[in-house]
Amino acid sequence: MPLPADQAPLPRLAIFGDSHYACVRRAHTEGLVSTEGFDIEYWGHVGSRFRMLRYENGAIVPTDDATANRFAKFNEKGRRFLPVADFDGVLFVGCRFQTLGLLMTVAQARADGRFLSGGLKRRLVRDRLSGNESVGFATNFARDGQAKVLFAPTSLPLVGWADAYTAAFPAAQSVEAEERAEIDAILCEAFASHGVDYLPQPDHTITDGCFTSLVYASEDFARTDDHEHKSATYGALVLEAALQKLGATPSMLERELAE
Amino acid sequence: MPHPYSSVPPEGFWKTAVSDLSPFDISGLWAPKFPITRDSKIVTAGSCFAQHFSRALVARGYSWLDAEPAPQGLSPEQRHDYHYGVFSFRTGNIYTPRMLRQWLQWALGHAEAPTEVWEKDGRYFDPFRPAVEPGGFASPEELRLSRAQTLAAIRGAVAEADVFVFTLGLTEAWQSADGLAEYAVCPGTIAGTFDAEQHKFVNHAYRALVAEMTMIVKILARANRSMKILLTVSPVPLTATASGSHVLLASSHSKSMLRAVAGAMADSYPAVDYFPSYEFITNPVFRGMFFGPNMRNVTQAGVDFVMANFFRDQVKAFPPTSRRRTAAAEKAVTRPRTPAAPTGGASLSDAQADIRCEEEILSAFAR
Repeated sequence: MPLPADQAPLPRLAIFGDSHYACVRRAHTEGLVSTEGFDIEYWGHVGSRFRMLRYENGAIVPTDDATANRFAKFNEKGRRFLPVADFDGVLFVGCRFQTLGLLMTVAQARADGRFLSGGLKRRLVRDRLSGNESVGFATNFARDGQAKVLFAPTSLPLVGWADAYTAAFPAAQSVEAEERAEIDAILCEAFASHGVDYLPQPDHTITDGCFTSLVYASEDFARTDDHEHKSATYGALVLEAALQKLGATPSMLERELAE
Repeated sequence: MPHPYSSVPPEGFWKTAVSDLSPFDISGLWAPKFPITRDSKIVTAGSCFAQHFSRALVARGYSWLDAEPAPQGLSPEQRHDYHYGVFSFRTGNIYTPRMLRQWLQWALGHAEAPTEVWEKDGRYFDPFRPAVEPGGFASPEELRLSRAQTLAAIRGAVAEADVFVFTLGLTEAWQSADGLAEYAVCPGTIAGTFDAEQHKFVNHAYRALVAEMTMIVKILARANRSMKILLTVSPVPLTATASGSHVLLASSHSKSMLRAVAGAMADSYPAVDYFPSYEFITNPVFRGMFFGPNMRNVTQAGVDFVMANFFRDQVKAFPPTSRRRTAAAEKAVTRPRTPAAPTGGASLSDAQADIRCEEEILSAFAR
């Protein structure tokens, strides 16, 4: 006999990620997003630990005890591995998957007058997916489990970011909205071919071509000058988008942003 | 009065120049007409074998002209698969003089490129460079935009180059029935649909080849008066022939013709020279040792031998001054490299470093 509606188990969502998932967790903790109707748990750690993960029998499994302990420490249930069968949805956040290089390549090609065909753009995206271990995990989850698998990339660095790599792309700041939309569409298509829903970075958070607006800087940005990690407000956008994909109705925050 | 043979140098006699020597000591086959230094801007185009030439030039710090560089951020594999850096421009293989003449005329505005495109599974292929875009273009318009860039690159390269190296590969080709366009490959092989009413086979004869090469020399001379032309003939035999002959006879016919034409052009024009890579690989004195097991592919040792002779004969004829060497070396070092995307920076594996050769597709049709 089915359980009454008020006793039915809530949809279970796992949020898996590297340090970039912290903003999502903070948005949740701070109540910026209504997570009512979902049973959410987090499984993640810093990116360097991702080298010690492998896929095995429907689960993401650490390859050594130290890594398993680290992941377990930050999980509500002390999980030492992440089995897809335990969840109705899995959200990958960050997971060392970046789109900055794609956008800079597109902008630089245009600035240099070099033709970049649609086929070559798809190849760039395809290669980026195949070179990322976590995309492989997501693909395996989609194949082996019943869970809806979602993937939010590492957000673009905050405006003002500069390193040797970005210096090689002086036209990076000229990425246009149409170019971002095109790359997002190709990414969505490529992820969908793996059975994964891709959640692009919301375009209104992007400024100066391919950087995140300082509005989304983490709360201690002034002290740390950390251009990579984002605020709980940004995390809320990611969590909102994920919950909507899983059937939640738009929240107040989402409606406000839409306006 | 002594007869003329009494003053012929040792390299003029088979015994002293060939049979008394180890094959590896045979040298001096080439007396270059003009210097090719590390400062010289060099364009390479032609059949598959021309790719070895560009690689050797780059490896030695020569100024090989990459007139259509890959967009920034591509990995070595991506650049290679999309035919960037294979030749000086993204034409793919140019097997015949007629094909080169077409490209030059389209690039320099002497003729309009045909509007014909080949379709396969909803993707569009350029009949004149069908392999440069794996999977084809999304639309004819995209194809034309891409080709326009290649034509601009050819235009720029011709204007800028000091030396144009062209490796002649084939005499056999496929044309439109009206003879106005010559394709890179037979329609229906890589893409398109073969139609005996629309397409015809040609096996260019000596006079036609000379006429085409003469036009090429004139076109290039008009566009860049100081440019020199270096011809080579690919030693790689035909993959397949449509001539009706045995493929070995067809290869012999084709290569003999091209070799004769290259020699005739070098004899006729001071600005045209012939470098004998063909002889280094194919002459019986080398006992076929530079061919792979299929007696078609040229081994790396063969390429190295050819190019070592190229550089040695150049230095012998035109000893470099120290000032020229230094400037060129600095230039080679400071030439900007296209950075690869951070996640895709693996170097090209040996297998993927294989040369690009559209003609190879024909071997798939062997029964």
